Amino acid sequence: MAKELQENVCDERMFSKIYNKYSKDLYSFLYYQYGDQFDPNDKMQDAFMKLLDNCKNVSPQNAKGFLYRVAKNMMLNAIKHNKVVLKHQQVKPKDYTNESPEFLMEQEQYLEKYKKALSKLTEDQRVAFLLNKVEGKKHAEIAEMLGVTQKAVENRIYKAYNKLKEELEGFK
Amino acid sequence: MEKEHLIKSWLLHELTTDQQEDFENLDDYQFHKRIVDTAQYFKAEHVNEISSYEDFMAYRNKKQSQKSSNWLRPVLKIAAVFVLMLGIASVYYTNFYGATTAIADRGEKNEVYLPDDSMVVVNALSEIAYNKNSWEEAREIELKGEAFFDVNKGSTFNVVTALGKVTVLGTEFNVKQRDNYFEIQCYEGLVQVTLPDNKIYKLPAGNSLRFMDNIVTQGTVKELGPSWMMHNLSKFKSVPYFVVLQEFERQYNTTFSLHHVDKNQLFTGGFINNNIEEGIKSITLPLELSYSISEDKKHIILSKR
Repeated sequence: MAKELQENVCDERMFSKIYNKYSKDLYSFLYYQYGDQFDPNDKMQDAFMKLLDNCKNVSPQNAKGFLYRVAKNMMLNAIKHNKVVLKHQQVKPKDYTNESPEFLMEQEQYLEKYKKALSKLTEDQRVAFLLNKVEGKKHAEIAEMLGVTQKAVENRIYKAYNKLKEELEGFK
Repeated sequence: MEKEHLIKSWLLHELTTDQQEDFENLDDYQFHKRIVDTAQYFKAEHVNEISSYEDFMAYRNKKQSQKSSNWLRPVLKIAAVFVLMLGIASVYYTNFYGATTAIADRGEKNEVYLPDDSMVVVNALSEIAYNKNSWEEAREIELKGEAFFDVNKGSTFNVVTALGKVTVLGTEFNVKQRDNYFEIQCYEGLVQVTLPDNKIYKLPAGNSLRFMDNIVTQGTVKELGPSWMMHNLSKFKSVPYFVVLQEFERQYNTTFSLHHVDKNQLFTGGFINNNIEEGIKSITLPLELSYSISEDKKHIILSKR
């Protein structure tokens, strides 16, 4: 394997490039993983601080993997694994100008049930499902972020979906 | 195509145009579609308000100035660590000339990243050593004491202790080796343990193995990580009391004197690592022992009532 001229993560220009490239996705990941029991923005910055502290040992190609490892391990040092409940955005009346108040109320009930159902998923299932369906990340990329196989990601998405389906049966 | 299979393929985006048509013709098509569409409502909020790079640098500078305001303690810590290294190095690391080491002092935990991004959290009075330069060829790390490992996928990863060797391919596990006690808990992946008699055990996630006084005990693990790391709690299951006391001494930098206390009685329970009064209560009350903590908290006397 040829050794390329190593561009250093410690280099300010390289590091700021990496920060701008990955900060948004890392923030989203932290939010889906841990909810907002701790400020995801602070945790995201803590992860980048760890990267900067270890910049001598991490190549630019490995920076993303490093960041996600740190993010995954963050709460292992915290006091408790609190149940994660994600907030949902409000049903915006202007999206449904033709819909009746009854529909809006039904949608609100659906969202409440959905929120409960999401909190019943395991952390693994919830994160894989949301990264794929909300953030549009491909299975291969999610596998890379989480440090698991692509098959494992697909299984988690499928399990998550089935659990949601079960909880939402009443809305068929 | 069978319905369940069709739904799964749709969920994982593997439908052909024909299959897509079949899917849309299902009578509960809207039900399925709504589940996926509604996920959007749970998108991470404020993602456009996260810290910019400049904000981040300001945040970092603030955190760093908070750390360096206490300069006197680091000097004392280094003196202690240096002495500790000398003591252990002369006995132990003869194979590791020029080793990189990471140490946790009494009452400390130390989080370390290895050259391949694998992470190690070292518990109190424990030490790891490895060779940074040959890391790519052979990932081998010596451990004295206790540490949690989160190993990146890659070449074979070995943890060597005085009592047993652990081989992994990429996983999360906790290894504890103190005097005549060796215990490993596997939280994710698969590890292979080699004991001094060369017997080999394979431990999948959710399993533990203990080797004490030449006896092997296997058990299960439900947690995601060791309690000393996750909850600042040292937990024990049917271990001789002196094992508990030794860990207490490491966590609190204190020593015990015993009066009529049976060191070998088996103990199940735990103690918190950041409150000495609470901690000592939880390991004395169940055994009907009374305790007396010295003024400087460096010495505790235990006696049977």
